[in-house]
Amino acid sequence: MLKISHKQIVLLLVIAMGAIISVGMVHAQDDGSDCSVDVSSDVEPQDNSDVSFAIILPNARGDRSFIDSAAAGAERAIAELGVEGTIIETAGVQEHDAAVRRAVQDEPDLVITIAVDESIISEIVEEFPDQKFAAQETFFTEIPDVDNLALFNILTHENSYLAGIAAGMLSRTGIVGAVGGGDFPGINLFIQGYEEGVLSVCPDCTVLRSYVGGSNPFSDPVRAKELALSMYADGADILFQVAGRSGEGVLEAANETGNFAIGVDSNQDDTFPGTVIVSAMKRVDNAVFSFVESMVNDTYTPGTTNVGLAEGFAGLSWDDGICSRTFDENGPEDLVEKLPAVREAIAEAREGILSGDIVVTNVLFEEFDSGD
Amino acid sequence: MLKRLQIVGGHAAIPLFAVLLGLVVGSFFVFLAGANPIQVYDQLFCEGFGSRGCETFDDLLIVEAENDDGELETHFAPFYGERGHGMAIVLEKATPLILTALAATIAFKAGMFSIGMDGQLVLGALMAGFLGYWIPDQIYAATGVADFEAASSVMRTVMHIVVPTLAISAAMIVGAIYSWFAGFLKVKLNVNVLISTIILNAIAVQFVGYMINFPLRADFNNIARTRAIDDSAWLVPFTRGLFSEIEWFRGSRTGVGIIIALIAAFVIWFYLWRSTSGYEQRMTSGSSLFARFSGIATEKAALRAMLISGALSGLAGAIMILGVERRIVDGFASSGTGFDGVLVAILARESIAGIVLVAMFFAGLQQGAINLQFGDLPRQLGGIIIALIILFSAMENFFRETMSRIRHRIAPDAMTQTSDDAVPVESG
Repeated sequence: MLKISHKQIVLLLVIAMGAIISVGMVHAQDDGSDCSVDVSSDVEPQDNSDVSFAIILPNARGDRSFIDSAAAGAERAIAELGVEGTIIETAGVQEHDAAVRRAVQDEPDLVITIAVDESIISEIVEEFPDQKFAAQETFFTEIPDVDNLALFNILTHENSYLAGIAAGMLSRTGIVGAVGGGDFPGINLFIQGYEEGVLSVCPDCTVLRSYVGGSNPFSDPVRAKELALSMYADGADILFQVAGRSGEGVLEAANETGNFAIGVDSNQDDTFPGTVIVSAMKRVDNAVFSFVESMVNDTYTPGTTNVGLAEGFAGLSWDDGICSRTFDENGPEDLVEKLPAVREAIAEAREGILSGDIVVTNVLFEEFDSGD
Repeated sequence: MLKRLQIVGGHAAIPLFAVLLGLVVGSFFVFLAGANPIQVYDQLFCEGFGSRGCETFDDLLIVEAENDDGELETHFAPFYGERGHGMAIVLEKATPLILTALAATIAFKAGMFSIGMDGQLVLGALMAGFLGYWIPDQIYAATGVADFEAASSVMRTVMHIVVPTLAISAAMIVGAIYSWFAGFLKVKLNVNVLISTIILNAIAVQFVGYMINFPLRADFNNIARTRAIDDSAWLVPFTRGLFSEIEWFRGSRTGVGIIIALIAAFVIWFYLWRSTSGYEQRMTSGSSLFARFSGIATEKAALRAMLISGALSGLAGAIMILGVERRIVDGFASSGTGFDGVLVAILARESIAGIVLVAMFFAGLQQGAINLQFGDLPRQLGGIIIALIILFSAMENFFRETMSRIRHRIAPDAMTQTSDDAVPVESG
């Protein structure tokens, strides 16, 4: 007979509990908010099971922002277009290369990469000339001259400008801020546009900036929260988060201190109703969907595509119908009163941008090859 | 001979039993996640160690795959390399694990519980990554040649030998010095090695992160990174050099690194078990006082072990950069390869042959876990299964005692036999 002591039983229970929690986390991935784009049922599901794709996500899902948006696009493509799709999560940069190579091994029609580093992409597209690639959020100092790579850049300086107008008009203290993932053009594109938007309606306003940085800039909510708390303590009352999952920390800090925040990438207005004023949307989901669609329609073209506000790939959550009025219902009265005026100003600015009267600085292509 | 076989069998039985137990307990969690354990394990091992067309355990040995005409062909799986083989990636991933596990073993065998491999590895990587473009720059500037393409073939050959050698040596020296520091603190000031190496790791990781993000940052890419190393410093992978025709290696960046790692394993085995210095340091680990009274310079032996340990970790970092990554990207420093090496060393019970096997097993499981997603299974399941296998492997003594207790109950006469087995056997 095996004699098991109390200590051993306790140890086993602790192990079991730990493991159950981990499994719980496996399940907890799919807590999409109500505002996520739902798969519309009126679209006839097509059958394109001979078309296949694989998508490599730069980090685990669950940021309720950039990565979830990309995954949602892939899921929508699988559901609506009836294609075969594989969604691959990675745990950071060190896994990207192996994941892309493994995806190529299955020889899908298209390999989609999201925010995978330039050096990895340019090496792999040359190594596998017969495999078609589509890259979203990879910026090149020099775009490789190959015909199996489609690049897609969503330019977000203009919609960030619109979000900046909201911040500038709604700020009570005259101090607003932005928390970015890291200090580089892909993020400063948002922040620069935002800053210009704020100053266009409130020339005396101060715009603070801070960056999460560190070894995990886009999934470090704790650090982002600390940054946000100190900025709120410095008198800022509206913060724009441009930091993926780290940004959840900013939203939380806003909620805790009774201040306000602006969401990014996905519609985050509902994460903390009454705290998140508006979200600067970047429709990565539509980009992913259009990649897959191009395979189905046989319209895949290598080269670079730059889209933004005009093409509908960047915008504000307020543009959306159903759940775009969360702040109107939950926000404090003095700010809600101002909202119609804010919307009017934004509509005006939007027209100005589209007609070319207002030019927002694009810091991205000061550093990178625009492909034009 | 039979006795020896019995001992080896006894050594292998418990790790195998631990793996099996890990899989059995793991299947409980697989059920919780709503998947089929058999399917998960097939996928885990096929993705890790299998060839194309591998779907079940049997396919790891004999695999059937469609050829270009759509006919089924039977292949001997380990040699079937169409579209690349899982083992080729295992070799790539196992290289740094073998080297850091050797580093850990050397330190443990001198009675120093150093887990500083991670810090030494990232510092070595930084050194190699920096020299990988800095030395060629100096050479080009001195000779007036524009770049590697423009150099003459003689110059290329010379540079291909000199630059990596210098970069690797520098990385090993940096690792060795950093490791020696922890040893020095222990020997002279009696600072606990475990604690000092944990702290030194943190310092090294932060320092390398800073260097990548600020002084050595090459451009304004989304992810901070250093400049790519020059082609002359590149330890060209097999797929692009020696064996470019062999499909087996496709998709993997295995290169000369794995050969260096295996040579290092042999050298370390020789040093530990066949040399006087190795004997001295093992004595130091076994009983420090006894060793000192026998006339062994224990402090020197311990410091020497730490130097070798650090050099091996630095070598691992250099190979990862010069052979695989070709530049240091932010996030490399905190990926924890050095810790995995310590884990491998502990699981291999400090046996050199065991390290090579366990490192490959570990690398394959890790890769398989990530690739579970290609069968629409959550990757976290793989992590749980690996953790369980490690946990059960670490319970070695518990199993050993339980087994001998059971054996006693079945055949009390065999008592003398079992106590004999329980003596750890010192062999490579």
